[in-house]
Amino acid sequence: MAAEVSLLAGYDAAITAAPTLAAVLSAIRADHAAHRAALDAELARRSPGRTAAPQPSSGTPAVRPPLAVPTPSPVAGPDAATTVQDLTATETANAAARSDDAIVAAAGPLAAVLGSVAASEAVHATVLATVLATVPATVPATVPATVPGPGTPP
Amino acid sequence: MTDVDVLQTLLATENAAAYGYGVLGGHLASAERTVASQAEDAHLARRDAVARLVRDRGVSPTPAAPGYVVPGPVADRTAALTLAARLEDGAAAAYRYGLAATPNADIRRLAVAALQDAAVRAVRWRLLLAPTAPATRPFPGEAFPGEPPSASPTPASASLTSAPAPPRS
Repeated sequence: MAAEVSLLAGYDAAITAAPTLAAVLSAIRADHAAHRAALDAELARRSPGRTAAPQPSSGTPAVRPPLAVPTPSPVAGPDAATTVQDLTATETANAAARSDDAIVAAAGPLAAVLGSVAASEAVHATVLATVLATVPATVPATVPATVPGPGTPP
Repeated sequence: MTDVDVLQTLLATENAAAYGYGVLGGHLASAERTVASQAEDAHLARRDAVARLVRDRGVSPTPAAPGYVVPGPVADRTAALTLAARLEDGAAAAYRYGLAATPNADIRRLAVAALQDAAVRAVRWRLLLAPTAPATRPFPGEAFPGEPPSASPTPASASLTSAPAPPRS
């Protein structure tokens, strides 16, 4: 669960840092929001005292509304390539961790959800790697108005 | 359902998937045929791994059916790519089912790896089919709105339907 929350924050930051990639990053973020809701519901079912967050379950149709892209920070962040690279590594690591969780999960339904989450994260890593191939490594994702852009005379 | 039942279900799915790739390969572009061939090899390798787990339990693996019925005609590239994605969605559904159906760590280890592989191949086929459409799914192996259901408890029928053997003359 903590990993999903962290990834959601990571994608929020990435959408800010790389607005040109907002469409693909937002779609992946929506998947993680669904993961969090499904895991929350599954854990609530197993812990009667725990209350699931009022979010769509895994069986609810995935809705991918356009996200409100936060205003870019005035401080230059990492370039788009680095951002995507970091997310790819995180997705890969999380896929491995959720796979391990699925293998040892006590309950079958939880194992199935964890396995699907792991598979989704493996897919995300694949998609991000494809995106990475299209992102020039030297172009900053965010060029603040106060900083000259590439090719701008000093 | 016993572990052997689960494994035989996974075996049937792999046999069906391998057969499906044989059907669709001829309608793909050259580079895509190479990918399809690799996918078919991956399913055959997974089939062998599942069969080993069946044999480890002192049971004979159920052989592949003599023939399978694909869900629709495969007459062009679009139909072939669609079938490829459905084959992988069906495999993902089978392995997700396998994860839920048994606590056995060996089977779950195989299932979770196979679920990931199928999900990744499915998204690659979907991207070839419709490069600009959302290709990811939050829960691979689970039915997705607007697509044919594939997360069935009888996963082999979600990808291909086993046809009865022709009568022997």
